[in-house]
Amino acid sequence: MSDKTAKKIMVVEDEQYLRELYVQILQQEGYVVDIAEDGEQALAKLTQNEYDLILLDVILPKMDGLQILEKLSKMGKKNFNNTVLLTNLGQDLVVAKALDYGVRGYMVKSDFTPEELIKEVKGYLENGIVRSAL
Amino acid sequence: MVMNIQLALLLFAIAGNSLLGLFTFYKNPKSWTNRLFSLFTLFLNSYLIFNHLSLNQSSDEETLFWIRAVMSNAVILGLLFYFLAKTFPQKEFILPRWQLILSLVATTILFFLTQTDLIFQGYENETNNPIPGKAIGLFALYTLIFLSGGFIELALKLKNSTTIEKIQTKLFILGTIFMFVLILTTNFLFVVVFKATALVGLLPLYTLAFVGFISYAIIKHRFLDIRFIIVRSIAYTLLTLFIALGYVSVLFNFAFFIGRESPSISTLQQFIVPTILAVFFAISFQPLRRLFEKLTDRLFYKDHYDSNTLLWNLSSTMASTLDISKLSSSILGQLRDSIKINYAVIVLIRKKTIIWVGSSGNTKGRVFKGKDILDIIHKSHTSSRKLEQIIIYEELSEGRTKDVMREHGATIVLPLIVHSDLIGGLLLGEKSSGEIYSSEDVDLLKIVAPEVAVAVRNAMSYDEIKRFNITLEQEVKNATTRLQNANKRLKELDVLKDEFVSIASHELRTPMTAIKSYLWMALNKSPQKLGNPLKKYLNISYQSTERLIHLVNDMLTVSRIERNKIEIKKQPFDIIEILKLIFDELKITAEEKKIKLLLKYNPGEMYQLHGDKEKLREVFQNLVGNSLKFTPENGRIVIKVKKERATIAISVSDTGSGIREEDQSKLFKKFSKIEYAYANHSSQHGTGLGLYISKQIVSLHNGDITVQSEVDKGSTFTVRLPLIQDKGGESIKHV
Repeated sequence: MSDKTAKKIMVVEDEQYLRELYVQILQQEGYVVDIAEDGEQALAKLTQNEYDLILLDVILPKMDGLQILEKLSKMGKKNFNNTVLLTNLGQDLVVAKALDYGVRGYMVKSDFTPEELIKEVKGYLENGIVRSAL
Repeated sequence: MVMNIQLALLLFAIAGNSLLGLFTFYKNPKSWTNRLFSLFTLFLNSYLIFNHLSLNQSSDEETLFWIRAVMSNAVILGLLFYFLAKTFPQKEFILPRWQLILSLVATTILFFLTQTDLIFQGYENETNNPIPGKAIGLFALYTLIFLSGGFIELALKLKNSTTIEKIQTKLFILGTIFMFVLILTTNFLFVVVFKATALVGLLPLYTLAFVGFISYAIIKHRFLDIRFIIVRSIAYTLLTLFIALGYVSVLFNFAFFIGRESPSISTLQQFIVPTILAVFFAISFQPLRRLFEKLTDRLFYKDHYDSNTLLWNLSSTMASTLDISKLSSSILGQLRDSIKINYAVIVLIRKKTIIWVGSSGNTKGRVFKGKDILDIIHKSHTSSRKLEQIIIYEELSEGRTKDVMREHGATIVLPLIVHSDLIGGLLLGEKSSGEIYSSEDVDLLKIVAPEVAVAVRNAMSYDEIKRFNITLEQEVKNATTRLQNANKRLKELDVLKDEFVSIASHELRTPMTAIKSYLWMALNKSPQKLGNPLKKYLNISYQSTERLIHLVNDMLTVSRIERNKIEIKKQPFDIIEILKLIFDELKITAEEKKIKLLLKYNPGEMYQLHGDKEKLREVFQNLVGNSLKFTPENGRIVIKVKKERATIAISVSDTGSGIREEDQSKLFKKFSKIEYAYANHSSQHGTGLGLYISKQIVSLHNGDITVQSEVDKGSTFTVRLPLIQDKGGESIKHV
C-alpha cells in the first residue's frame, strides 16, 4: 500500500490514545500524517501547510473546532472541501454549523471500527462519498 | 270713634281668624284636627259678629235677640272646643259613641234652650245687662263641663305625649290660657274692679291670638316657618283684593257706560253681568292664585328650591353613575345646594360596623365613624313612630341621641333602607341660614332617602364586584408571572439538560471509542495469534462496548426526538431500496442462526414514499434485528411489502417467542420493561429504546406501527407509511 502517492492527512485530536491510534492506522495505510493536540496548534499548522484531508475534532482545548473553522474562514479560506469533522458530540447544531462552512462531512468516532474509519478516509480521498452517520 | 275702632278690630280679627282657619283646613283637609279647628274659627267669628251686634242695638228686643244668638253660638263653641282638645293633634276623630251622643244631645237641647226665656228672659236697659232665666245654671254647668273637659284632655296629652306632640299641646294650652287670662283681665277684672270698659272691645283680638296659637300648633309639625304663613296670607290678600277690585270696576264701568245709554237693560245689568263676572273669576281663581303665590314666593323665598327639579336631578344622578364616591358626592352636593345646609353625610354600615363614609360640605373635621353614629342610625331605623323613620334634632327630648347629634352638628338623621335591611344613614347638618327644616324639606328627604339607599347599595355591589375583579386580575397576573418564571426556569433547565446530554454523551463516547478501537485492534490486528479463551473474552468485551455505544446513541436520539430537534430530511424513494440493503446485510446473520429470511414484494410494483431514508432504514433494521434475536433456529422471518390504498404496509413476521397481549401496548414505551425482558431473553443486546425510537420516527412520517403477536407462535410488526401516488411514468423511469 505504500506504493500509492503519499497523501497528507492532518489529525486534530486532543485525546492521546485516539490520536495515536489514528496516526498508527493511517500510517499503516501509507499516508503522511501530521497531528495537532489543541486548537491553537491546529490553526497554526493549518495556516502554514496544505493537507489532502483534515480530520477535525470539535471539542478541543484552547480553541474548539468551530472556532478554527471561523478563523480560517476569516483568513480567507473559502474551501473546506478537504475537512471532515471527527467528533463524538451529539449536538446536531454544532454539526449543522460546521456543514454551513462547507466541510465535507462528519464522522461519529464511536460508530467506527479502525477498519471502517480507513474505509471512510479512502472514500473521502478518492470519491468524496459523504456519509452522514446518525 | 270708639265704635269705629271696635269695628276695625272686629273686622281685623275676623279676617285673621278666617284666614288662619281656612289655611289650616287647606293645609290638611283630611285631618279631623284641622277640620274641627276650621269649624271652630267659623263659629268664633260668628260669635264675635253676634256679640258686636248685641252691643249695638237700639231696641231691647233686638239686643235680646242677638244676645240669645251669642249664647247659642257659645254652646256650639264649647262643644267644638272639647272635640278639638280631644282630637288634637291627631288626624282621626276618636270619641266613645256614648260620649258623642250625649254631648250632641246636650248641645242640641242647650242650643234651643238659649233661644228661650229659661236662659235669658229679658234685657235690662238701665244696667245694660240681660236678665238671667231659671236655667242659666244649666248653661254655666254645660260650659264648665265642656271647657274643663277640654282642659283635662289637654293636660293628659301634655303629660303623656312626647317630643313634637308635647310642644303642640303646650302651644294649644298656652293659647287658650293666654286668651282666658286676657279676657279675665280686661273684660272682668278691669270692669268689675276698676269699672273701666274701654278695653272690653279688645276681645276679638284675643280670639285672634288664640286662633293663631292653635293653628300654629296644628300646622307646624316642624317648627315653623312663620314666613310661609305670612307669604301665603299676603298672596291671598292680594288675590282677594284683585278679584274684588276687578269685580267692582267692571260692574261700575258697565253701569256707567252701558247702563246710562240704555236704562231698559237694567235686568242685564243686575243679573247677567255679575253672573258672567262670577263665572270668570271662578275660572280664573286657580291660575290667579298660583300666579300670586309664585310672585310672593319669588319675593320672599330667594333661597327656595323646586323639589320636583331636585328630585329629577337626583334621579338622573343616581341613574348615571355606579361609582360610589361620585354618586355619594353628587347626591350630597345636590341636597346641600338645594336645601342650603352646611354638610351632608352618607354612612354605610354592614352588620355592626361602619364600612364607608362619604361627605359633602364642611363637617368641621368631625368623624362619622364612631359607635355613637352607628347607634343613631340604628335608632332612626327603629324610631318609635314606625312610618316616620327620621330623627329631627328639634323634636328630640334631651338625652343621649340629642347629645350625639349636637356633638356632630347633625339636625336630621334618616335611615337608608333596602328591602327592610338597614344599610346606612343619611346625616344632614344645620341649614346655613340658621333656620329649621321645613315640613317641605322633611317630606322631600323622606322621598329621597329610599331612592338614595337603593342607588348606594347598587353602587356598593358594583364596587365590590369591581374590587373582586381587580383582585382576580391581580391573582391571574401573579399566577401568570409564576408560570412565566417557572417556564423560564424550565427553558433554562432544558438548555442545561441539552448541554448536559451533549457533553455527557461526548465524554462517554470518547473513552468508549478508545476501548472499542483498541479491542478491535487486539482482535484483528494483533501480531500474535490469540488463544481461544482470550479471543472469546476480547469478543465479549468488544460487543459490550458496542452495546454501550448503541445505548448512548439511542439516548441521544430519544433526547433529540423529545426536544423536537430531530431532523427528518425527506426525499422520494422506493422502500424496496432500503429493505433490500437490510435484507442483504442481515442475511448472513440469519443463515448463521439457520433462520430463513424472506423479502416478499411484487417486483412489477413501485413502493414510492416520501421520507428520510437513513432514519427509516434504522427502523426496519431494528425490527428485523429484533426478529432475528428472538427467533429460534430453523425459524422463519418474512419481510412483506404490500400496498393498502394510499399506504404501504411493511410487515416483519417471525416465528419467535411472541409477546403477551397485555404487554403489547407497553412495547413502544421508553425503556419498556417488556423490551428489556424481550431483549434479555436472548444473548443479544438491546437498549430498550429501539421500538420507542422506531415509533417516533414512523410518526414523524405520518405513519404508524402496530404489533400482532401470539406467545410461542411469533410476532408481526407492521409499519404503515403514506404512499406517493403514481404520477404517470415518472416513477417507472426511476427503476
